[in-house]
Amino acid sequence: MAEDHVPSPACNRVTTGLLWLAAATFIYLVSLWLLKHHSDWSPAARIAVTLAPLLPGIFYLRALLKSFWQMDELQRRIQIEALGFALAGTVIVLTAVNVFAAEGIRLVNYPSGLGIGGVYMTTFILWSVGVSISTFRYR
Amino acid sequence: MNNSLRELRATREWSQSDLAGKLNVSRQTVNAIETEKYDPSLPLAFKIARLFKLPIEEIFSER
Repeated sequence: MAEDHVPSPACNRVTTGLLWLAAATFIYLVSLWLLKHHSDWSPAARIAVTLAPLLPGIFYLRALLKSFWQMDELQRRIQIEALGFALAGTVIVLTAVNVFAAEGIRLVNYPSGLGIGGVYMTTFILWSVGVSISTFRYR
Repeated sequence: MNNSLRELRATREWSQSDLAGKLNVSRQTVNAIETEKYDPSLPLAFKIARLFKLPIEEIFSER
């Protein structure tokens, strides 16, 4: 017989966090559109529109931190190991790409080194790999 | 670290999910402790000892 699945508080926090992330992304896209199509607005209004995505972004970080502290100790260890792996891996990738760029060796899609988007993407990919490795280790 | 968690759980006819619920941890944590891939923190080890009404050193021992 299948057991009733009750989501853990950490799981609920992750869901809340993802909703805030979606809100932040949506507001970011709206703010980009507004800034592009309303260049006549006052500097104060433009600053307010630019900063608007930060508010849901802060709630996203808050939910993320709360979910971290509601995890059980093994889940928390897996996340810490994965974050360490992602951090070290990103530094290595970033250094390698920038050294190549400095030496004039152009990588196909990154002619002038990794941009901020590339750094986020690298960190996310390495974090996913790190979670998989740690989860497998403790299986 | 060696432990006798699997045997203790078996004597009470609890599943890993039952034990995880009583300890307020995930089933993966119980499994990792039983297979000795993960050593629990001191607070969790005390919680396990209290649940089985045994001294910690009777459940956990050095290799």
